[in-house]
Parts: sequence; C-alpha cells; structure tokens
Amino acid sequence: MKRLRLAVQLLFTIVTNGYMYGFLNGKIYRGSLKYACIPGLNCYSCPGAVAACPIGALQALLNQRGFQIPFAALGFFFLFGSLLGRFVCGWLCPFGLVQDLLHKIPVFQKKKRLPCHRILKYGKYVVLILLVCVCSMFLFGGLAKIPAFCKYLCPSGTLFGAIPLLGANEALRGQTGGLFLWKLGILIAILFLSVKVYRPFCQYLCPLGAIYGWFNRFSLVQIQWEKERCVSCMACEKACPVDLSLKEISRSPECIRCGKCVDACPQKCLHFCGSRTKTTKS
Amino acid sequence: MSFWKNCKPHIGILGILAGAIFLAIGALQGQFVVIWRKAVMICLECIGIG
Amino acid sequence: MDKLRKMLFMLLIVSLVLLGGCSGDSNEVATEPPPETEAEDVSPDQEETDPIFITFAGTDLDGNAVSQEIFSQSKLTMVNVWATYCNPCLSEMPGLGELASEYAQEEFQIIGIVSDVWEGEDQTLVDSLVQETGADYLHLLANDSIGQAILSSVSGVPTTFFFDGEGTYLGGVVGSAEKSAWEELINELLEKL
Repeated sequence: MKRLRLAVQLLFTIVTNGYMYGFLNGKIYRGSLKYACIPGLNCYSCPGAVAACPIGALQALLNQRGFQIPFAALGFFFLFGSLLGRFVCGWLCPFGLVQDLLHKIPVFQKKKRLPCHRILKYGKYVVLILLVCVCSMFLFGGLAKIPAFCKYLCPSGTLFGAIPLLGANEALRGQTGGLFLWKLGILIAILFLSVKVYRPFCQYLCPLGAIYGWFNRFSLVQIQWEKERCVSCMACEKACPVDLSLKEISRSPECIRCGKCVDACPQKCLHFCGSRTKTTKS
Repeated sequence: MSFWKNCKPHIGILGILAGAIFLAIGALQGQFVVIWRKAVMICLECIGIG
Repeated sequence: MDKLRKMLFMLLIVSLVLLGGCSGDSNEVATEPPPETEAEDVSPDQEETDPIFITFAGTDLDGNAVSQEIFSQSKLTMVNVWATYCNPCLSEMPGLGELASEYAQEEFQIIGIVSDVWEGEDQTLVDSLVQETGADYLHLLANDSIGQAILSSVSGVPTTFFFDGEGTYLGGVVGSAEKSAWEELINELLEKL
C-alpha cells in the first residue's frame, strides 16, 4: 500500500503538472483543460499545471462584483468529496506529497501532532471561512477584490507557481517584494515543520482539506473495519500518522485515507471499500 | 468483486448527483468561463509577486 | 486490494491519455523573450531577429472598429493588457491615463486591452473601472482575433507591448510599473525612433 500510494502520488502530480513547455519558457498552459479543476491543492499558476485549482476557482468566483453562489466550485467539491473525501489529500495532492517526502527525512524526533492539536485543528476552518470566503468576497486591494488565500497564504502556490515562474522568467524576478518574502517565509516554515510534524499544513491550515473532511463520513471511498476479526491489538492506531483512534478511522475529518492502518493490521480487518457496511456503523 | 459486494444505495451517490447538478448550474451561469479566464491569465498579485 | 489497484491504474491511464491528447497552447504569434524589469527602471527586450507584425480586428468601448492600422496614428504605441480582477493593473492605470494626455497623439498613444471581458459581453464594469481610474484612452475588448494576435503571448497581467508607427513590435514588459518608470522608457523609445 505504501509503495502504491507513493507511486500514485508521484504519477498524479507529474501528469497534472506535465506541461513542460510552461516550465521551459516561464509561461502557463492556456488550453481547455483549465475549465476543470484538479482535486488537490494545485496552483493554476504552476507553469506545468493543466487544470485549475478548486480553491483558486472558488475565490475567482467570489471575487466577482455582485454575489453569485459559486456553483461551479461547489460542484467540484461535492463531486470529489462525495466520491473520495480526504482520499484526495492522501493520494492526489501534490503539496501533500511534498510534506510526506519531507517527513521521511530522518532527522528530529517525529511528532504526529502539534501541541494544542485539539484547538489548532480548527485552524483550517478559520482559513476557509475567513481568508477564502469572507476576504475574497469583501476585501478590496484597490478597485478589485483580492483572492486572499492565494495572495497571503497558499504555500502550494509559492512552491509550484511562484518559484518555477521566477526561475524561468527574469522579468518577474524584478517584481518581487515584501509580499513574496512573506509567502516564501510561510512556505519555508511549513516545509521545515513537515520534517518534524506530520503534514502540518494539511492538519492545521488547508481549506481544501477542511472541505473534503466534511465529506469523509459520506464519501463512497471508505476504509472499512471488520469488527468480528478485530483482536484490539491497536496496531492501526500506532500506525496512523495523524494519531486517530480506531473509531475515527475513515470517518473523522482528519483521516486522509493513507491506508497505513490497512497495512498495519495483522488480522486484515481494515481495507479500502466502495461504501460503508453495517459493521462500521457504531 | 469483493470491492462492490457491500454496495448499497449510498448518501455519497446523492452528493455526486448534487455535484453534477451544481456543475450544470455553474456552466449555465457562465462560471466556468470566469474560472478559465482566471486560470490562464494570472494576475501576478495572486502568486505573491508584485 | 486488487480491485483498488486496478481502479487506480485505470485512473492514471485515463489521465495520461487526457494529457497526451491535449494540444496545449500552440498559438504563439509574437514570441517574447523574457524582458528585463527592475523596480525603478523599466526596459523592454529588444527583438534582434526579424520584425514581428501583428494583425487584429477589434472594437473599442463605444463599438468602433479598430485594427492594426491604428499604429500608424502615432510614432509609438503602448498596448497595455489588463484585467478587471487585477489590482496591479488597475493601480497603474491612473498613471497611464495621465501619460496618455501628456503626449501628443502623433507622438505617443496608449491602447488598453481588457483580457477578461469579450466583445458582446456586459461592459459596465469595464466602463466604470476606466472612469474610476481616469484611464480615458482607447480600450479594446477581447475577441478571437485579439486573442490570437496579442493575448496568446500573454501569461500574466499586466503585460505591456510597444509598437512603432509601422506596427513593428519593439518589445514588451511584464508586470506593473510606476508612472515615472514608464515615462523614462517611453522617452527612451521615442528618441530611438
């Protein structure tokens, strides 16, 4: 499972960011695939990106003058969320992949959570409501509204969008100022923290993870627990990188469906499943 | 076929249907054009530059 | 597990096929080597190769037809591509409005191109932004012809192009700049012409 997941993460990231012409020339893809959204947090300013970012799309719709319910973005959230829930986070998100890889670096004592996790985990909802929604709807930066999450926070945009574009495009380098330093600082802090703590951005800041987390209880893809076979060895809880309890596996909005519990169970009572069955209902 | 053996009508399917309906409404309102235009012509402010 | 693997690999194959099928952006008319831009000093790249001419047919905000013949009206034309959602674009437009009125029409003119509002669409927002910024020079709405000729070379807004009286492409600048920096560049280009 571990190797399969890494392979899927790598392949999906490469395929969805495979527009090589963009990387070589400091430009971005302009074709019709960008009418659609990639499920994960994949900045559409990445020169390689072949589709749009769902949070970017949401903000673009909210940034319009005159309020419109952002049906197009909601459609993607419901579609990916109801099908996959936070499976997207565990298997399909490029920035999740980056944090996973950094966490493998064998330095520092590894922690699954930050202190005050119980409060900090709501940070992603604060980011979603405040930055993504409220600010994008009401905050003006002059005569136009600001996509506040993209502008002030998103480290995926800095890493996959800003840095490759600056690398390839000399003209843009002269334009960098305080804002870029702020975003670079945030990116570096998150990357460093990922070495010690498991996926800090996903656990505490990601608005997309917050949205997909709401769908975890209802998504088609689930991790099913066969109660009859369980011997309560708790190997699953030990293996879980976000420190979930057995009852929380797959159903909690924190579960990213990485499948480490599935691998760890000696009785094979956990497995990915197409829907919930009676045995998982508590 | 063990993957599908426990498949029942599921609230997830309702969610997918809702998603499809929302996408259709969004398309009718021209929201996809807004997304596309934003996605292919980046405002430098949006990537934290300038 | 086997079913899961199969499903995932199907997903990957579908994605690969989709990517292989996508043609991407192949409409590059005006190739634009990265121009140099510093904070105070703005200078365009210089095309050392064959001069590039563009042809287009657009309409301004009052519905009048405009084509590349408009370049012959001035020694130097500045084409500024902007978008209604773009704050850096909107913040430099007052300066551009002032510049447009400071030079004689035969010397220098500015043409704005609204990249996110197409011909036939509701232009009330464009009108109000033009009024609010005081950028009362000519603005063209986007259409297929302008898309091909100009927008296909633009990755980000604001992007500015310069053309001489014959419509020869002189260079481009990506990003916004202060009015004084534009003034310097415009004077520099006018001297060379």
